[in-house]
Amino acid sequence: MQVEAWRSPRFVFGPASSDRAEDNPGEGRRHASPDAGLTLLIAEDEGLVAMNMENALVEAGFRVLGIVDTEADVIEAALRLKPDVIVMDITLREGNGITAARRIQDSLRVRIVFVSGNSDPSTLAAAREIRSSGFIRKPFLTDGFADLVRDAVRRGE
Amino acid sequence: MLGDEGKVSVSCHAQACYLPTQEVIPVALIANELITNAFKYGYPDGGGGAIRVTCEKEEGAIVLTVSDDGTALPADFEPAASNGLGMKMITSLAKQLRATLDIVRLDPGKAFRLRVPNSEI
Repeated sequence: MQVEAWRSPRFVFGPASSDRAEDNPGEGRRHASPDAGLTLLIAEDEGLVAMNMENALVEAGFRVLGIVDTEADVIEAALRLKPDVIVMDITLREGNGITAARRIQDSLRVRIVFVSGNSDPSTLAAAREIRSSGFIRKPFLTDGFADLVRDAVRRGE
Repeated sequence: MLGDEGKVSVSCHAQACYLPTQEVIPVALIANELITNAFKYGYPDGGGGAIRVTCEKEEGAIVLTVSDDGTALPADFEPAASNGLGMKMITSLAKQLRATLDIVRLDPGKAFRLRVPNSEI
């Protein structure tokens, strides 16, 4: 299912890279990757968007440990499951992803990739203060989503 | 794909139920998937039949039911484990709604019963 129909600038911070996967849509999507097997937690409060993310990430070789949709649940699940990566929506059903990220990073070393349609300056500034691996703007194209996450994870290393 | 026109009938009996927009959209998407499934798989031999859609208030919840008198579900049918896109959508949306989806096996047919909690009902 294609939920989103067009591409928009997604990474708003992090170093520029000339070999970004998004420059080559679909490139490497079905091939083994050094990131294959990374464990991942999805925090997203729109059920269909979460399902779409999960499908794309599993197909790309990530291991999705779970999907949660509240600040309390993402903190609890992160501390319990200790994923390598958290794909974090900023607006959650209860609470928000930035507060959750701060709480999680107090006690866990984990790469966090924010995904949000809310890219106003104050949100970006708050996200920038956190040791995050990147910021993917919604709407995103399903075909390129796993590459964007993989790219962000590599930048964050 | 959706059965021979005129052979499958759909009836709808609904109480006036009100839900917030962010809940009624997922409920509508689930209804769409359940009714489409009933058309596609309920009466595969072309003999036709009935699909019933009801929406009722229960204490603390709204209950949407889509039922048919057609084929039985596989014995091991489990919505959350289904590989079909439609059932995956239904389970994702039900989770978002904190709703429960019960499957009632009828003779013949089946009913899908979605119970959406709502504290104002």
